[in-house]
Amino acid sequence: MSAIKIHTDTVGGLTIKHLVKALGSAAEPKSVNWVKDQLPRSLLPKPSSQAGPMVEALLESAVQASQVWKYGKPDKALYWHSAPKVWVQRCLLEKLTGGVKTRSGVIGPVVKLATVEGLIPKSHVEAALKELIDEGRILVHPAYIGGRAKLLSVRPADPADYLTRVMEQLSQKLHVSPSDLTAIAAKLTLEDSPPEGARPAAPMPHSEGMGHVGTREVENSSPPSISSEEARHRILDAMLDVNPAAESGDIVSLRELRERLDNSLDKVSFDQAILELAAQEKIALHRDDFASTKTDAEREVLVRDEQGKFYNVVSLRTHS
Amino acid sequence: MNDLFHLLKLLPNPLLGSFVGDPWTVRDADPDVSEIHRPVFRTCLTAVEEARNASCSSGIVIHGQAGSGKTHLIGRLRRKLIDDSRTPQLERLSHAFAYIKLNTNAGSLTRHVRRSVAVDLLRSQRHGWNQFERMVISRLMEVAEGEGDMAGFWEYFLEERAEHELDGMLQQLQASENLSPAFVRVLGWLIRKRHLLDVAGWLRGDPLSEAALVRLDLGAGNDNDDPELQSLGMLLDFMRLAGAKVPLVLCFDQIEALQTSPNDVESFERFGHLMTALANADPNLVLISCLQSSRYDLLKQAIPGYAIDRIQSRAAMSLNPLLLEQARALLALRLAPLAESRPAEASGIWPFTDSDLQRFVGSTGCSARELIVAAAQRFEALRMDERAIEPIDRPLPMVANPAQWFEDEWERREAAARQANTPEATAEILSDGLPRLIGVVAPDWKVSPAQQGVAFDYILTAPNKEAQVGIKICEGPPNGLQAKLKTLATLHPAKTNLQKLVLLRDERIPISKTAKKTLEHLDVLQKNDALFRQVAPQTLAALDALRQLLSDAAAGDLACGAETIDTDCVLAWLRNHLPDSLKELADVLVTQQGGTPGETGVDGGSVFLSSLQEWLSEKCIARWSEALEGIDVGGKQADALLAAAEQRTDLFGVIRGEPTVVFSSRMASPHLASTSTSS
Repeated sequence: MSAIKIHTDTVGGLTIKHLVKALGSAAEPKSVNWVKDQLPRSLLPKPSSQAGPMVEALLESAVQASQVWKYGKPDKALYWHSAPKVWVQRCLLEKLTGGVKTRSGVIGPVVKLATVEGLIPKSHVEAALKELIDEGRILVHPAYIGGRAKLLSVRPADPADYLTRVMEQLSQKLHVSPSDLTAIAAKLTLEDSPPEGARPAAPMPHSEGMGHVGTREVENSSPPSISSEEARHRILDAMLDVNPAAESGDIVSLRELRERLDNSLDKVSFDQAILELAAQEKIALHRDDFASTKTDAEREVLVRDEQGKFYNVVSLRTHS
Repeated sequence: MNDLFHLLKLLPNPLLGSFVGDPWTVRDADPDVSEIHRPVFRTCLTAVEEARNASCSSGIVIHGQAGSGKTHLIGRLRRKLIDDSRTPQLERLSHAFAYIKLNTNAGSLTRHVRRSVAVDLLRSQRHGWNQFERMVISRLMEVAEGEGDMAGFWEYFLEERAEHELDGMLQQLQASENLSPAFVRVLGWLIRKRHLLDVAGWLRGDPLSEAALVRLDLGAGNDNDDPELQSLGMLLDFMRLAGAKVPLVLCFDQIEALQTSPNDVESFERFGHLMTALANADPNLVLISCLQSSRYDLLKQAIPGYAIDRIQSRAAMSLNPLLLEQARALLALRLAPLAESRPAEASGIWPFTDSDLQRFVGSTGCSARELIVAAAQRFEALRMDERAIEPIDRPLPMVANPAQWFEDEWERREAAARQANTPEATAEILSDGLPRLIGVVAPDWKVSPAQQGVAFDYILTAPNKEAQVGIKICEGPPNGLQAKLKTLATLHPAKTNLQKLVLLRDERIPISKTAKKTLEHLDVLQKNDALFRQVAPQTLAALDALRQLLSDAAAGDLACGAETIDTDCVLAWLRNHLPDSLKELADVLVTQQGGTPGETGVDGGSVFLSSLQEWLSEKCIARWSEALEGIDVGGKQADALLAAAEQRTDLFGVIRGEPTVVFSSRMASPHLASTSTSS
């Protein structure tokens, strides 16, 4: 029979709690000396030569108790308040605060940072990135037109970025000034704009697809067999098929709804239509608060919005 | 801009600390936007009306994401249904209301429901009689064909009618409603206002002493009866007493808190069975079940169709995320306290702008909790940082220090649990808390409720079935305990196939030395390596806090700012911050056999402490010299005992002086406080 051993260690007046508190302010893994310098002098033993080994011993106890995590090589250990995965994920997210980057642009500097000190292996960085993408905290955008590398970002894709690049390319290839191109584009937009009073199109999901450009909906790379409007109609009809009580305010499982429409709507069209219906206030989306505990396959049946929130059920808005 | 910043610095943030955790705390003066979730509210009221007029039971399921306002809606319903006027005794009861938060173990679900219903029916009202008293007197008035207001009838009755007439009326009521004889006997004590503490305890299902049962003129009962069935019988008595004209409205909240793991379907199934049993038994019951929408698929999978039909026989509805105008109305109401400070030309949501509001709500709506948290954070930013007054286009800040939040939340919950901790709740705390504790400290161990008829409560199985530990919660009246220990003693160890058997009992209720048979069986068990452990009150309080924290997380009702904290997150925190008392308790359960024959395992106590406890349970307060005489202790042992008693402030109070006085230290039960009168 296995034994449970959870213990709180103290050395002199110093406890693991003091160490955790000291490391709480550190933005990255820190050395024993750094930790020692953060502690009140009154808690450290005299002579001061004993302080380092004592703090190190207590840090090791804290590591055993999973209250502090150890990084780096045995001869050059660093310590931090959270697990290596958390630190790597924080580094990856920080790299993307400035805007979109290619995968190598994100992962390269973090791998360098992580491996140069021997903190954690490269494979862990790659695994952490995959997890962030799976959780929707980092989004994968399509490559720029003419480019091949997919892009990573913490925000939804901005069509303006893509459009600006296309305009620059066109300007160079056709030898037309950017201002002339802008005027031509504006004229085309006016000719094709929706009638006055029409609602702007709803925001689109931002995973692999770009969603929409301005107020014009963009066709998916694989042309859908039905229009967005038709998709929305089918979803509203199917909601009542799946659960007739939806008309009086009951909820409908997105899993069941997706199954019902499986033959006629692919995932991208379905998700897009659901988000459009929500933006048009025809349906209400209910967030799945436990999405993070689900497997990839379970999350696949949910709908994710541009902020990375997952939804598992919907209801009609007529009864709000 | 600068003026705004300086003005805001002087104002309190009216958006902080305004969430509803208990519908009984919603006051008339609390802000409420009636337009929000109005269709659901109206449906509930219509169901109550229909149940009263057409005698048809109704089931309503309310779905909503975490923070959508399910508990707030029940609070609104409670405010509407409970007559909180100054003269409730003038009107006959037209409906009764009870709120049941399902933060319990599915194995003791019916007992928990019975306790919650009894507590709410006996809950003291601001003025006059509680719901239960009004229910009883309404029914007696029917029997006596009395007219006019209830108070007048009752006053006249007590003055003019003979005592024996009361018994006759109760017997008539018993015959017409098929009430159980014991229930009617207890009603007799209630209306005569005698033994009220015992009456309340019996209705709630508390373990009563033999003396209390004698006072109530009740037999010991059949201890072999399934306690769940006994509680179901009591619920049916409540419903029958209410009668055909008074619908009983039962609001079940946090159904998902019954789950022991995210994929636990058995708990939902048990809930479905109970709902079916209740709906089948009563023609005018209103069952309102609140469920987090994240659990919808699982619920449908777990509960059989016939049960779903009853649970949502009237409707299943959702609390939709708020749209812009609903959010504006809610925010304006919450910001109303700032009206006097607001500039003349400012809108009702000042100091926020329309773009702030739009950001709070997002493109698909937001829950009420998300709105209030986002607005509260923005308010703080505006007050604390002059630059924040400029429009921002970045995500709103999260709670600054989640670790500190956890620590504060734990301290708050543990303090509340310590305050509310009474021996009556011990059985529920242990039966719900132990599986959750094992889930924290030994997640690879399997916890299974023992099959019906088996003498212990849980079986813990080590990984790879290396070992099996049986747990018996030794609560309940002495007679029942004796029978159970006798059965256990005949089974263990030959037929139980356990490597270890742990017997747990609340330290505050020592087994009396006069309970010789019980002690004999206990002795036999201990000689066969069973470990008898008395659990200290502070350990029970910590376990209570742990189970409440985990069940709130399972129900999505644990939020750090706008973020819902899930169970995994709580488990991770608990694993690193578990109090020593719970670590020790867990060690007793899942480590290698550690008990030695004869060890009682009292936490830090001695054999004399339990003698003193037992003696004081009758006397309550006494001179120290009398106590020593009563338990036959003297000399050096007396000094040691006094020192030990002073250490255990959770069990005793000692006032040194001439003479030194000792008393039994017990928190007042919140349930006892809820009865409107005392014995």
